[in-house]
Amino acid sequence: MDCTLHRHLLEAYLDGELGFERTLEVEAHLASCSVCSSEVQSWKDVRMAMQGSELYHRAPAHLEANLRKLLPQTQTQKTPWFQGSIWAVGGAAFATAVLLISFVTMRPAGPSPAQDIVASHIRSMMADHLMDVVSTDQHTVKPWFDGKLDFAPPVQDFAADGYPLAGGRLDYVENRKVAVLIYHRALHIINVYVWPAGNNGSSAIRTQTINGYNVVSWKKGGFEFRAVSDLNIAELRDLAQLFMP
Amino acid sequence: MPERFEQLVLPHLDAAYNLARWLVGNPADAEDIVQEAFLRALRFFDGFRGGDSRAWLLKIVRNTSYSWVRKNRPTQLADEFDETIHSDERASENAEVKLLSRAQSERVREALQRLPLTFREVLVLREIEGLSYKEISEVTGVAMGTVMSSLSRARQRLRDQLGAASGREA
Repeated sequence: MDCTLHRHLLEAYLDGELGFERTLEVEAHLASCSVCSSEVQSWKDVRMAMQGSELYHRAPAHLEANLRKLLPQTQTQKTPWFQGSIWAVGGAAFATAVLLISFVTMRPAGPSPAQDIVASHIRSMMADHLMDVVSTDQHTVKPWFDGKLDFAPPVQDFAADGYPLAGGRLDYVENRKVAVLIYHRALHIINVYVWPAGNNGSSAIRTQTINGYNVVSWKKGGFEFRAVSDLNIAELRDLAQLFMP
Repeated sequence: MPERFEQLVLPHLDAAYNLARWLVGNPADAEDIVQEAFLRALRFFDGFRGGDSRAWLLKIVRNTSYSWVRKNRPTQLADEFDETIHSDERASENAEVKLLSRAQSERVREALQRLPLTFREVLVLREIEGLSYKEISEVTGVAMGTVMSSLSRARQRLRDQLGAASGREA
């Protein structure tokens, strides 16, 4: 019980918020301190229970439909403001917003590759076109790509590490056909884009955030990889690590 | 709906609903809040200069939810600051650790729903929505250090609740 490790450090470790060196420090400490390691384990148990699907309240389908009706409607709505409904007020505000937005949206835009991938990720979630082949079996997903691409993407299941393979699909990024592997992490969906790199080299893992989505990039075994998700960077990096043992 | 709004903001509808649902506690009011929040988001969208659109939307959802709570459940805000009893002391927790190993979602849900609003909020954002400290700080408007300490206290509180629910070991 003479543990001196600060509680915040332990929690930051748990939350994947520590840098590399600090993480190693805490891991070394955990190996020798049963108080802290059972502390971490107990919270991981609670976390598992919290990340069960029953605790995530997904928006009911009619809510999106309502919003889609509501938002464009307000664009052309001629309801007088004095009708007293909040929606009428919203409508007036919307008319103003539309005017402003029409100026704001005229921004120069040569999308970067990462932006391209994030846009593709968003489309895959919206258009109900997440997967072409649905399978948790890498031996089903891998052959599915045969003949559809001019390369054979590496397909692996990481269910044992908490990243089960869910399926695959074809997509276009920067005008070329790429393989997309879909993984799950708790309730998050991760799209991993794979295409041949120019050469056989490897690269370190890089991360960036675009529009609230995290993008983790790396190169390994002659392939370029981009993992995109709303999952936090730390856990997304963990997945990248699994690809490059 | 402008295309850019549809691409940047609408995909975070589940996140918006989940947060509202946890903050106000029932589906019907959560839906109203999400609709109102989206209207506000659209109104302020010209002020959004890129960056994290999920955190941006959740901030609006949070503010809308808090206004609702202030109006309809003011007592919920009153018990926010009475949580001074749990210090950073760790020794006593260890006995309870084992009780959590088989924590079930239902028990966790009940315990979470019983927590004071600010604790519930920080846990939902971190554990259910998977936000980073920085994103939570953006959504709630409090400093990172404060995010860490309220998260820490919230965790301790949740675990106490879970421990109490299953009976303590002697």
